[in-house]
Amino acid sequence: MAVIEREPIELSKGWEIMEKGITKLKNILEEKDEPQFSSEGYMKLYTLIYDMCIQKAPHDYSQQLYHKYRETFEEYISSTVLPSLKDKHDEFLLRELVKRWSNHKIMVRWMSRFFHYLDRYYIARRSIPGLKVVGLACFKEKVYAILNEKVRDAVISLIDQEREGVQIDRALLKNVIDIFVEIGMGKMECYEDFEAAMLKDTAAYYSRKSSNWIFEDSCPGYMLKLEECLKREKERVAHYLHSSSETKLIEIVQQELLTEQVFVRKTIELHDKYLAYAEGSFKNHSLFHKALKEAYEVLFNKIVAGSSSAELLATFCDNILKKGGSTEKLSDEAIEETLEKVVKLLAYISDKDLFAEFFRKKLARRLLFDYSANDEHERSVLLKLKQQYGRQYTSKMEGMVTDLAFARENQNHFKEYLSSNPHLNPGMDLTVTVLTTGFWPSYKSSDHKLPAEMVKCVEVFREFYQTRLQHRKLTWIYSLGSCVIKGMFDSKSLELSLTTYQASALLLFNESDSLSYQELKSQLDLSDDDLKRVLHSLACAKYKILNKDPNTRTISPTDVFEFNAKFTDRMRRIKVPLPPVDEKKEVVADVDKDRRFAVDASIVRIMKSRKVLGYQALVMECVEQLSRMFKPDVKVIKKRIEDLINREYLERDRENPNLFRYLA
Amino acid sequence: METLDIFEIYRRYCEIVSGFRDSGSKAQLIREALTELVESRRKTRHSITEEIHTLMTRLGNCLRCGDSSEFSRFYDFVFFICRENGQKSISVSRAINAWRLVLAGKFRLLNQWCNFVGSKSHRHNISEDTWKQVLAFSQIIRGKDDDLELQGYDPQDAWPILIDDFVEHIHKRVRINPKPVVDQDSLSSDMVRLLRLSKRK
Repeated sequence: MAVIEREPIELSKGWEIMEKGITKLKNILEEKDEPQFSSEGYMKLYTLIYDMCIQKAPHDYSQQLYHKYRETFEEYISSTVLPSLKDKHDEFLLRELVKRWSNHKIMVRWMSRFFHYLDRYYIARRSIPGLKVVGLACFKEKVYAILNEKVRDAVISLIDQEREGVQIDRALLKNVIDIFVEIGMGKMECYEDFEAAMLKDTAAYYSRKSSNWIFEDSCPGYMLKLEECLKREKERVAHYLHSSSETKLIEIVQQELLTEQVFVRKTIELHDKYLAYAEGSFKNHSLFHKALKEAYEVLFNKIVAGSSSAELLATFCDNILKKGGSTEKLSDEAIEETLEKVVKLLAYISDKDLFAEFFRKKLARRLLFDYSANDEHERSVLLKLKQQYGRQYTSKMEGMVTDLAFARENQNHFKEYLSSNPHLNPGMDLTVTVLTTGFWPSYKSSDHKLPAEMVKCVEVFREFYQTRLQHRKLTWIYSLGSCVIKGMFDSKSLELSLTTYQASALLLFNESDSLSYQELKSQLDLSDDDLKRVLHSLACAKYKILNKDPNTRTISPTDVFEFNAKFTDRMRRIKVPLPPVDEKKEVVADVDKDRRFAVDASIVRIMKSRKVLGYQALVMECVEQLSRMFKPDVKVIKKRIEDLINREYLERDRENPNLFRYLA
Repeated sequence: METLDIFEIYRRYCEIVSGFRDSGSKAQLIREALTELVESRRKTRHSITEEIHTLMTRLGNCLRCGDSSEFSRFYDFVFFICRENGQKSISVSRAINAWRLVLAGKFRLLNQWCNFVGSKSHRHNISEDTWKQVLAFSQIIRGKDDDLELQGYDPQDAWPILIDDFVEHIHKRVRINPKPVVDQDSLSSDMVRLLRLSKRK
């Protein structure tokens, strides 16, 4: 057989023919009067590509065609797709987007047929992205990336409209949501971006609702509304959201509608109501008071939405007592009255020590970060607690309040000291709050390395403090510190309100343009947990003051950071939030530790007076003694007895192993 | 300091303990007197387990009977001699080795007990009190070999937690593999329903 030597097809020549086919395809998409592709027409284009790919070099145009394939989409998007979307808003935007996406998918299907030969050899051999992937990615990069925020807002606003009872086009929403899923090409990240924004809006929506309903509705009425909302949100997921969102959505609704605000307010309301019945209708009969007490004891020792009542009550108080809390509108009298009732309700809680610890942690935050709205209320609630549960219950908290007053005074002395010793002035404003160990929750005092500027401040203050109180040891807790620094960014300078950790991390970038995670770690001497939190707040959260390579949403030990000089904000001063570590576990662990001491002390107290006592009697007396503060677990008591035997406070009777003797 | 062999140490131990017990002295004083005794063993080449074994063989008949006071004194001695560097408690692995040796044939759940204590990722050492109560426990549950209900044991008593946990563990296993009286699983669910209905009538 003879091989017929054909003239190779030149790229420009071949492409001219291709372009005709592509124009036809575009016309079909634009619904212009254009007949569909015949199989001949399609075969002609396919063969053309095939021929241009199998020609010997230098006429093998595979690579060029691969690029032309992409350029075709890019050109179509910028000349036709984007202009059609640009001026549309809300529902119209969504409709156009759905249409454009469906067209795009058709276009990808046809184009990848024409260029199919590339997929089989050129692409397969080089393991580069296939035709379909390239085609879909074009839409993601050129359309989705530009419009996704606008689209997302439009979807969310439709959802909110539906929540308010407006009839909306659910099928349209379903189609848009499908785009978020499909465009991820197997990954859910685009949908998750949308989901995060949607959940945030949901939280805001229901938080607004709950603050109105709480004053409008009775307790049962409120609960009915809550149930209705949960049902509607579930329907919403079934109709147009991705099923993976259901649990998250339900959780958010519950969180917002079943806050400690609602729980506590509504239980106070109920308590008032039934107390009135017991006192009025039932003439203060003891049976009804007892029933009320028992019912409330059961209620208050349940776990609500993952939190103990002790924690909920403490959070509730915090909300009342802090600046900008939910009760800002309430009058002083109303606040006093509410606090009074909370203190009374506390009687039903068996873990009073747990409440005290949560309350103390929150009080510490209010005092140290100046969140406290009103000194009077703070003092008054402590007084109420003291009257109800004894001096010991509040002694630490009172100590904290006093500490703070001393600290203010001390700060004045420090100022005077600096003005009379101007050569010592460190060149920046410094406020130090000296606290008494023991009153306050225990904070980590890490070995964190401060920047030189701050080291100087610390030295100056140390010297000053020595002049006043020689034998006191100062331990610095940098994790609670805060700082205001001035950031010189390209467009303008901004005042950054930061924690000490954040500030010392940023200041390192005065010396180096870029720093790796490991370098930062060794220069700052922070634990991985702390450092990750700090870097996340600076590079991955609302304000991106640092650029991170690779640009992902989590911090990993191989990341590299550099100062983002392009950063700017419309405000002159910004506060870069550092999310606090969840202190729940810590509080529970602290309380457990305190309980061990309390049980030890109680056993020793009992045995000291009784000398010899049976095991059961000892346990009972111990429970009795401690029940004022908490309900000790029998196993814990047993464990403490064992420990006291080991430490030779007690011994087992030689004849009767159920009898213990006190060893003086 | 003179180096004593295990027999001599045991003899002196018995002397000291009974002497102090009669005079009603504090545990503290006994321990002080015993500390010196323990020091005197330091140079021996044999492991503790080997030495206890030798001692057991020598004491022979006196120890046969599990609740004799002679045995219980020997049992207490084993704890005493197993302690290291004056610590008040002994390590789990040492305790298990010693139990396997001295309680063999005297504690019918010995194997289960040792496996339980060893597997439990039990971080704490074995205290003297727990050690002693294990002997009491082994005596109280002495019954038929197949009594997994542990009838001598009362959860209201002041047993050490380790023993409470062990009993719970045994009960749990009984519950998982109960002796089949009626094989419920083989009954179809309809049969079960029928049975219930007939009971209600």
